[in-house]
Amino acid sequence: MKDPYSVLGVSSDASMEEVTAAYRKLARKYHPDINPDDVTAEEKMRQINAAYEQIKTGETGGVNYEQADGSYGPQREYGSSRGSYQGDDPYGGFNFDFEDIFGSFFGGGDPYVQAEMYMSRGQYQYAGQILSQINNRDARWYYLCARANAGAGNQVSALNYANEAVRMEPANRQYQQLLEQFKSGNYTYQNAGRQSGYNMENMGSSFLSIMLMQLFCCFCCRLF
Amino acid sequence: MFGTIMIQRKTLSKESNVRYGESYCGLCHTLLEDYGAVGQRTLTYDMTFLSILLGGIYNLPEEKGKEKCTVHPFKTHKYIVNEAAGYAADMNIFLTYYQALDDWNDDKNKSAFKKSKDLKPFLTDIRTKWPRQTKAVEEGLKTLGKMEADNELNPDLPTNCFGKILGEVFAWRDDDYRDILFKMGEGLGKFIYLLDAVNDFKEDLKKQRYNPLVAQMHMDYQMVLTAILSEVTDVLDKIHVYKDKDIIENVLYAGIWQTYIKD
Repeated sequence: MKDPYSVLGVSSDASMEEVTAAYRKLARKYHPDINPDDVTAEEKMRQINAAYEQIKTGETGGVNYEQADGSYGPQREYGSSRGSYQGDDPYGGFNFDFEDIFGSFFGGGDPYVQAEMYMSRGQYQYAGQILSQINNRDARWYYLCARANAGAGNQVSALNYANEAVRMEPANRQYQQLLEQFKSGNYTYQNAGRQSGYNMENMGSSFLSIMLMQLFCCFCCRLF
Repeated sequence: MFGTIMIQRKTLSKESNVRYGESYCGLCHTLLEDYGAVGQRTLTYDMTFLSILLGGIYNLPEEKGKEKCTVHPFKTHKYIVNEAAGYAADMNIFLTYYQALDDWNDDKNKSAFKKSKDLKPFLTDIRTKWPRQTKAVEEGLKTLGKMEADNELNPDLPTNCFGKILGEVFAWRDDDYRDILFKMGEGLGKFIYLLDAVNDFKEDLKKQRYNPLVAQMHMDYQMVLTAILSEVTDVLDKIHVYKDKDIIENVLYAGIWQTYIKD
């Protein structure tokens, strides 16, 4: 794998601020959402994301950062060394001895099985911690991460991983069903909205109509 | 932060539009009474929604009045004040202070600076009255600031952080409704934060500003936003709402989407 610092165009002793500034400069240049005509944009963005992730988490090997979906490294969701703020795990103040999980609870067997068992007990944080230690990120890994994230209320990541699992194994019914489950929350919401008399098509407004609405609101908020 | 939790007037009945307006004026009246003209200027739709939601869930008695005011100087208009209006006003001031501070820090906006200076003297009393909520706001915003400084690219971390802030704000009292209201506020907070990130994404990319979504690709954000909102409506469906349920539903099924920029 190419040296992450050279991918971002910074020296290896660059500060984190310099690295971040370089990352943002490259994102501005290569992000596919603002470069829709550039067919190479997506692949470039993946490499940039992977390089940034590698520098940020300070790891140099053992994990394949070339994530197929190009999103930010998954191991950061689960309160790994950099994922915590103010000493609090993003999942709510957990501090536990990692040895305990692998050792005493489920006999140190297959981590996928362990993760499934924690999820069946609603312990998504433990499941996430186990998954973040796995290096081989196959479709099942993405599927389990999607469930763990969903259970922990991380909707963006959950949908991202579910999409990726289906993308990697489109014929897998289980993965399709998970994606359907996420969508079903949408169906429930839309049905409920319709029952209350709302047209649930066309959510959102054009930029122009929002500007007009906000202008109108300056005057009309006093209409009440 | 503000301006997302609003009604969609055209799909709300005339009577409910009027009722919403009177509640809005009621919050304005309370802000003026408790915080003067400075406070009155912080009036938001979002905290109006909170006062209506709390009124509907707790079946709060209402005080009705009529007055002329600086904005309607010639015609008296009706207003409605319920017991939650004072709380909504306090939260309004507290949150507006931090939003003004944020605007000042981001854009060096001078009027934002003045606003924060004018509101600062009120904070101590609000902290004393509502220690749990104000602590959650201050600590949560501090964490959010740190995430921004660290260029946190896991979008769920700042989204959920802001969700927890608004969750505590919605949970008015430490009673049986606390968890329900927390869950509603949390969902709305997550929605607002993510919506802002989605709406600002291209601008932030171009201006090389922080946006938590930079590393995401091919995401159907409407689906995620809907999933978040469906958790709020699921909670609403399970509780008894004594009044203004139609206003609340109007916000959650229509009004709240109005600021979502569709490409």
